[in-house]
Amino acid sequence: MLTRNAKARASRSRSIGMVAALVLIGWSAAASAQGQINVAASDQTGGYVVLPKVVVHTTGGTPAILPGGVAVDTIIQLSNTNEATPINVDCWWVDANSHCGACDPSTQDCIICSSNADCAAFPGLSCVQDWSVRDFTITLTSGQPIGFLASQGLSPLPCDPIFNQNCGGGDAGGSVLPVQEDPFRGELKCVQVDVNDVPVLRSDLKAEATIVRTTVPTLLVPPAPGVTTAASYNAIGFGTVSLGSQAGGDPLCLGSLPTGSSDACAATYAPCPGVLILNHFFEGAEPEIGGVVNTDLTLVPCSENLGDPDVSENFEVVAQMLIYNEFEQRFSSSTRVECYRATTLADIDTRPGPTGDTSSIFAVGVQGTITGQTRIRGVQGADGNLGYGLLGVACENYREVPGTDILATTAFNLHHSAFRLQGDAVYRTIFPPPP
Amino acid sequence: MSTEQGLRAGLLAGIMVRVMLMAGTISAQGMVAGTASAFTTERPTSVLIFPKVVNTNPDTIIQITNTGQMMTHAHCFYTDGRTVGGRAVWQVTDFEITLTRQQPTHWSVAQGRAVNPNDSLDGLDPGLIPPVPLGFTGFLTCVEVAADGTPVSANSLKGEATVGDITFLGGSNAVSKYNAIGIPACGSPQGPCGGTGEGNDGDNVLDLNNEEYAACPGGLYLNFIAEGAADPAIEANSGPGSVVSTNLTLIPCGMDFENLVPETTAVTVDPIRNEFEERLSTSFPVDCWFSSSLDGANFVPMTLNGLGTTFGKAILRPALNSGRLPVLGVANVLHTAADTSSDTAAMNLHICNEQSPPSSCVPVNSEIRLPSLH
Repeated sequence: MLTRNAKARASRSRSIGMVAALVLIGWSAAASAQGQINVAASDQTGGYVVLPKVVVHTTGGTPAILPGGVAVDTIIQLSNTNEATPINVDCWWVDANSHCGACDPSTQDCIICSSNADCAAFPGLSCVQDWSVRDFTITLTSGQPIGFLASQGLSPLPCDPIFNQNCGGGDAGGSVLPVQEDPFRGELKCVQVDVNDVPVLRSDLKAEATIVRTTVPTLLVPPAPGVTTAASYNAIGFGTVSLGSQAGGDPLCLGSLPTGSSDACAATYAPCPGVLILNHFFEGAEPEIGGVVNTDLTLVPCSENLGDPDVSENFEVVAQMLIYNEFEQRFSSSTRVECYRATTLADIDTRPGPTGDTSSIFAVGVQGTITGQTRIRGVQGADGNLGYGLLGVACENYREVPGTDILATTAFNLHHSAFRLQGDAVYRTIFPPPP
Repeated sequence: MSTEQGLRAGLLAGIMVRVMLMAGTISAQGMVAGTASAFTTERPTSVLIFPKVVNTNPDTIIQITNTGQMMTHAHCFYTDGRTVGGRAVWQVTDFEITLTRQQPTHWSVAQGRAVNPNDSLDGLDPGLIPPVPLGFTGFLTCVEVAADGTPVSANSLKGEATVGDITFLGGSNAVSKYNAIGIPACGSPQGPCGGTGEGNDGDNVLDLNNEEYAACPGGLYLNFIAEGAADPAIEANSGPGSVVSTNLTLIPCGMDFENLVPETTAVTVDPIRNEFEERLSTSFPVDCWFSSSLDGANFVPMTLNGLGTTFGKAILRPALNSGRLPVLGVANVLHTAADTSSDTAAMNLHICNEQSPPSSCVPVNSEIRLPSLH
């Protein structure tokens, strides 16, 4: 209950506040012009959705996970939130594996590697970062949810006439193809389209990914203790804002690229976030719930060429990071994101692997506090065809002590702040050559 | 300087701080859509709600960060959601924290956090944070305020909750993490609530009406795995015998900390869709704090037998024509293999903004009533 004086103070405060707000309107004139534009969000449905982290390595992989090892697969849940109308969905698996020698897993058998040492048996071949995509189109009936393993896909879909099932909302169709390779690391992107594969002015898609790790049983008696871990996160959804003018809906314009250029791209979807904010435990921290925790960060560029991923070097984004500890002390670091970047926090500023991790600015021993905040920003580059935005997701791995098996995992969506002034473009066919 | 002059100077300084905080709000947050509920789980806001906070071994770690460039304060309320004799306890414990610019902080709800620079928790202690008793199950609400406790519209808080327990290989290990649900302050017509947005009147009633703060979302989407279904990833690699169980935690979108009146509401889960697009439904009451796995009598359509497929989708809305409050919540999914090893994974629920039928997710006005400071 407000007293009379307090009410008077509140009234005076509100008056001054309104004057200040009017001044601020002038400051944010450009912002107000775009005030009705949505922003990318992991808690909203979208016409274009991105799952930045999909990982697979199963007992059917090459090499296979053997008994006693830990297999991993990703459960994808995808649903049409439109309760009245079936929708068509065009999706891409983006394969970020490296191979011994340049290799396209869609057309040939490739040797997956993580360093040149993995290619020692193949003289003359080095470990090369490759990118490839696999495209599939499906139809979801009104309100229909589906789920599938990334390693297996789904064919046929429920409500496909082949099931002879009477689904009131129409027929589902198409097949969810499995990922190109096992092991696989990469992402899934889906866009809502019409029957001609042209994006539509609707935002009916929602999706989640659950990364499940489980020990492959052995024949030992008694059996050795196994582990099962699960980590879920929401897809990042981009709401549609217009149909745009590009024939065939290419590219998808996440925000507006500069007008006046030959490749002007008027916003068809919400823009990417301006800053990603990650609250995290510092590497090697021992949180109160027990164990030791490390954080994996996965970043992908907002702009991408799904028509010809070989030109991925055009999509390299420098991620600048500001790190704050609980003393409000600020540090900075940076890393390059080319198509797909998955790393532990400690490896951002030290050599890959555990060597030197205790010297990282993300190490709990360096920071001196348990938790921190890292703000991540994509640096604007010179190519006007691109916006250099970033998307990401974080996963925490808990061990009993450092160097032992992972006992539990979590995943969570990064927070977003503001939005990218210059839009991003997702090219579904051919990326225009740099000017 | 006389006492009166001092008070006026203090008042002016407070107003200037609020104006500057508002400036930060508009410049940083002004682009969020205002056509529907602007509740969020991924943008800094002025109110944070952690729907699931437990000290039941597992413990819960709360992380809150000030994402703004100025010092800020928050008034926080633990609400005990347990019931005694079928009635909600609704016992509230409040405390205040102070965060310097960009400062992150954390605490375990079982241990709280003392103001002691010599303890094991390094960093600037944000304030005296009391522990909750063993067995506590409930939720935490934090409201961004000025130094004098007056609510402000700075939209600079973000938070996460980590629920879990780590023991040893072969022991009980499970950790899940979710983002706090944020209620943005509207600030102005250019703010997160769109054209209806206004400044903060500074009183103890936070109006969730798309004028002072965002209105409550009219519904939530839940993508789920049918209760009791096998986990396809575990089955494919570890053999048969796995099971998935979803725990759903919900609270009404409205609180009265002044009069200690537990809010109650009723939820309609309609439609529940299986993979064959068949439509099912259920409903149940939410009294202050609701937490249940989907195997109860109210959730038969969400079990494997009831749903008929492994995957499903549901919309949670206030019961039709009841004038009831919507709910806020989080899902925590337990995945267990045949060898009994397991882990949990939490998911923030999507916000339903489709206002037309059959979704009919129309935002609802509500309020959070803080204890009066006067």
